[in-house]
Amino acid sequence: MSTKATKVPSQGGFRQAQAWLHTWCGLWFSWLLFAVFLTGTLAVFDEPITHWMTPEHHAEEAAAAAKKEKGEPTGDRAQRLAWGMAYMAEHHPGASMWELWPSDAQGGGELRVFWFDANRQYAGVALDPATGKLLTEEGGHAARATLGGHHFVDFHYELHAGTVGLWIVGIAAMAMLVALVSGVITHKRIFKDFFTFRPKKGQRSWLDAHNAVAVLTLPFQFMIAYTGLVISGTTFMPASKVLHYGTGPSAQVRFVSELGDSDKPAATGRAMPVPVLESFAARGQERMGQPVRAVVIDHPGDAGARIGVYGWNGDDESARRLSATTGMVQFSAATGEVQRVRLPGAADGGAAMLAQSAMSGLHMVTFGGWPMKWLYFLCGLAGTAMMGSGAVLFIVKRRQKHLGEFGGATARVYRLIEALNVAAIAGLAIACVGYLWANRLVPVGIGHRADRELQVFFALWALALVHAFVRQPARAWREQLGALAALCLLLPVLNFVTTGDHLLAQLLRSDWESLGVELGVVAFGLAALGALRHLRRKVAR
Amino acid sequence: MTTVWASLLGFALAYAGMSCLSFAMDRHHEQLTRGREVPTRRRMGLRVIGAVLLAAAVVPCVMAWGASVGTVAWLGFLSAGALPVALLLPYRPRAVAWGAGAAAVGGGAGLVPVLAGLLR
Amino acid sequence: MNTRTSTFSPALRLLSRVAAAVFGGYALASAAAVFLAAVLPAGPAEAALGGMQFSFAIYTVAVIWAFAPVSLPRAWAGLLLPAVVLAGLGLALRGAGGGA
Repeated sequence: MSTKATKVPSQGGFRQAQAWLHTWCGLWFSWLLFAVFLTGTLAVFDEPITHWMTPEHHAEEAAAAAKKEKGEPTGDRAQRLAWGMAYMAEHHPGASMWELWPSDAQGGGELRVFWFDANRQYAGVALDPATGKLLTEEGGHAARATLGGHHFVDFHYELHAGTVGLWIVGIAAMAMLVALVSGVITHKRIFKDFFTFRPKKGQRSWLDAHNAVAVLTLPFQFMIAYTGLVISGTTFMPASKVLHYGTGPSAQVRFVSELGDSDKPAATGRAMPVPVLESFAARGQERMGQPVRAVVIDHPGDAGARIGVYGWNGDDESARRLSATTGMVQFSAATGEVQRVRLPGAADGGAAMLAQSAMSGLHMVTFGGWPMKWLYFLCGLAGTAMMGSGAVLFIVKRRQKHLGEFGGATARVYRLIEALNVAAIAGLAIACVGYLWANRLVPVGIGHRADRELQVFFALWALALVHAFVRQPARAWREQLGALAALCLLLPVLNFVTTGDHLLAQLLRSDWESLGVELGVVAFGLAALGALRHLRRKVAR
Repeated sequence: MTTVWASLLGFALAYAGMSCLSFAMDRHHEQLTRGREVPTRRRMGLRVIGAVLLAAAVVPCVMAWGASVGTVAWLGFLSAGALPVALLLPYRPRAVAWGAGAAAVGGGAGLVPVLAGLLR
Repeated sequence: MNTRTSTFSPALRLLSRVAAAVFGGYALASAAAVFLAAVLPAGPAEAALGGMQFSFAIYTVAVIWAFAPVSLPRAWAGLLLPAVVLAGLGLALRGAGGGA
């Protein structure tokens, strides 16, 4: 195969070689990165989306918030800790670690327990906070089982495919870093064209738009790709860890424990029942000055057991700190002595741990409150637009002038790219809003309900891909944008029909999360409608 | 300073600053005035004012969020302020200019109590 | 040098360049992480973490280098030679830097 796509320009010098790299590295990863960016941008608001997707919880959440406002305690922490401990003693007596989360940040809500199982894997279940009994997916609450907004979080970093997905997204993030650097090198007039956008000029407009959204948000784009890689960096780049610790699960455990917790006690082998936890929780809360998030028992049942009490960061605290580390107080279970105190915002180790914590805070926007979330949402949309406009630009350029990069197969490859563009951009957006539709339409109470919602997401995306191959590209764009606009604009109607809730009611009860989700979806719908009108006018011309 | 108030000030100042920098460029000056080239003194003036406004945007950010988060927020507002300038200039250059003037005045006025507090 | 590389088809040469970028770059980034883990002034776990944090920047630069307009053998050599040196230094210095 001797075609132009395989020929890195070697005469034209550095900039031309980088342009080649930018074009092809960018193109092959643009579809995946578009998906990662759109879902990652939605993941900024995963909690409001979860709130919208669990309407049965609304009354409970409002009651908890009202109680908190009045300063009433919303649950009996001592009772919940005792229930959690009883569950662990019955079901996981041999685990090397128990972790009990007796409440949510508001002091009410939920009871969750975690442990290291026999294979040293982290596992957990949710217990009913009112009875201490195990919550199964179907039973317990009448609320619809759903992944909620967490679907977007999971999808954007591991595509719901575990380690394989994590690696795929990691490779794409690396490709994005390369594309950003090679793009900056390629862009000859980065300062002269800083604010330049020339609409209605075809290819020129696409290039301007691609450059503008990328250049103007460049610090964000670099930051988000780099911090995303570093968060899972010891998976992607294990060499330095292997140098000191070797490979295998025990090496990983040693590495992690030395990183955060170099003074972890060893089990003594002498049995000692776990003491009542509430007194530790209360002392820990006083010492670190934060409400209790979790109580962690290392070596439960052993005389060497250690009890760690972890805090929740308040809104004001997390607003001013990049690192989302909370307070922590460790006690000896046997003597009740305080062994170590970590104040909120401090890191366990040195500079590298603090950097790691700050980078993960930077990526997940755990700081700054709502204004930062909106800023991330905006910059995330700009990144999404950068991926989308890059993919479209590639093909618009070649509609004007066939470049014949793939020899005799060029026309077929272009057709493939056109279809992938439609499915990756419009199709993914349809799948995302379709996921919200599924939340209202999949019956409450059926088995594996959360999985069914996910299946709708993936089925719609697959359908969009098939549709994009069957229809002519211009038609496929119009039809999918039309479907997207309809699904978005009708979502408030669907919500009204299925739950009786509507925008005005949300406004009247100050339910900003539900209101924000629905208005946001409507805004996406209007954008899709605008794009559709633009395409129609182009056809008419 | 509340974070919402700081966001409004930070965004207004960043937007005004970015507008000044854009109108100091021939291409965008022409969109606004039809004059081909920016007179040298006006170019310098716009650049200085733009840079001062962008620098001023860091003040509310650091006041509301502290130095580290405030710096991140400031960088974010620089991007957020530049995007509408670039995307609106070809359609409504005069609106961009008027908006920038209003944002500069409003943002500056918002900073007065802060600066007064610092001097005291 | 031109005569030597041109005995292979363009597709093969491209494949070699992509392999240099992907695998040569990864080797260099890993070696740099190993080197940093040995020399950074911190405990072994912290130093390993710090090395990893820098490695992605090095990987990026390495890929850019692989697509610089230099001949293929030079592109490969520019990645693998420093990788071997850094990894060797890192292994040799491990006791002195991290094991303390």
